[in-house]
Amino acid sequence: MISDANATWLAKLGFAARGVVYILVGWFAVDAALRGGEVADNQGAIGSMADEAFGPVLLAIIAAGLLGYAVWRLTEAAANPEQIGRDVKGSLKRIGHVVSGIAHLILAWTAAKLALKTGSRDAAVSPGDESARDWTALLLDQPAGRLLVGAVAIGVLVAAFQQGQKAWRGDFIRDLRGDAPAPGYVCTMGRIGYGARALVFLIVAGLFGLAAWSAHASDAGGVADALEKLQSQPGGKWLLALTGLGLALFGAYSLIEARFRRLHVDLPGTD
Amino acid sequence: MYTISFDVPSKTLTIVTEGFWSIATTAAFSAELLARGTAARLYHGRFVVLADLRKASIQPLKVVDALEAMMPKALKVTSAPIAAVVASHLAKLQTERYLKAANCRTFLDIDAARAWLASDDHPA
Repeated sequence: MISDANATWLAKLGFAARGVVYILVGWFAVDAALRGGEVADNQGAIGSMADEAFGPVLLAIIAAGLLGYAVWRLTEAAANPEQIGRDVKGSLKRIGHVVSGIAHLILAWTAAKLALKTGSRDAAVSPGDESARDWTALLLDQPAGRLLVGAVAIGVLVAAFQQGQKAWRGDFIRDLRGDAPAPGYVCTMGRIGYGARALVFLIVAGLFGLAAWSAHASDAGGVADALEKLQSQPGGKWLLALTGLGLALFGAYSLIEARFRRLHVDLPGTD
Repeated sequence: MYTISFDVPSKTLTIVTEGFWSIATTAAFSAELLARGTAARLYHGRFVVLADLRKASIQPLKVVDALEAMMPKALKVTSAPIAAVVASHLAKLQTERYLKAANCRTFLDIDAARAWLASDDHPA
């Protein structure tokens, strides 16, 4: 049975894994903007590692880290160590932890399959977009399907708002431990990163909202679709490049969190 | 698994499919569809296509890939409207992955599909 200490170490590895993934997503976005490459979502970025030297080893480490991160988020939601209140805001925060945990479990599974070579590498660089459309179609087939998809849109919008709040306030820096305050540029990196994530989440919320309105699953989309929407705007090349840079800075901040963030995983049934 | 029939008065090639398909079934379907379509074009000229997929299951990825690979040849046989009818949004999403040409459209209602085929509202 894994101990709390090992689970905490894995969660910190998860921040590093998340950092690597976002740096890659940012890199693909900047490359697409400046050199005509293709944007990629988180799953696509993970898939891109499969063909690299030591790819399976790297993917196994990424998978373990993302699993650790997911476990941390899920135990946070269940055990509530931060004593988050039971009001609407608190409940939304805990729901957000659950959604984040599940999302990172899916990413961990993607990385693990590629590491073990039990799954074929998806030729698409945005399998997350296809998943978004598939799940939207499944929801639309349910009773009150359009309302369900609309609820997803609202959920993603709330997440976008939370990311935007973090970017505005910058109080996430208090999660870092240390005797001295973190340097100003660290907070700036994080604020730009959270701001870029807020923008991407906002566009994804819009895509789900459109799918709910039109009742067409093909209108839904994920991170890669959101980045492509930016690229198609007037001045889109620079919008995409700046957003990609922001996402890469979020990844860099995640690497800092891996080293300095205060966290402790409290597994159920362990001391 | 599938039936292919041609109605001369309405110049409509009707396809009805059901169940899960294998790669072998898809290959047999593609060969027969292209042969029947070519013959219909030679004898009867331009024709529309109505594909009733409401009893078909959500197909494996390899089957969808095979159908997508067949489409360029199929579109050379007819450039007239091709309407597919499916039973669910998920099936619609899957069908739109290979029926993505300008003259193709996927519907959730067979009456809407027939009305579209009969109308003049088609891409050039």
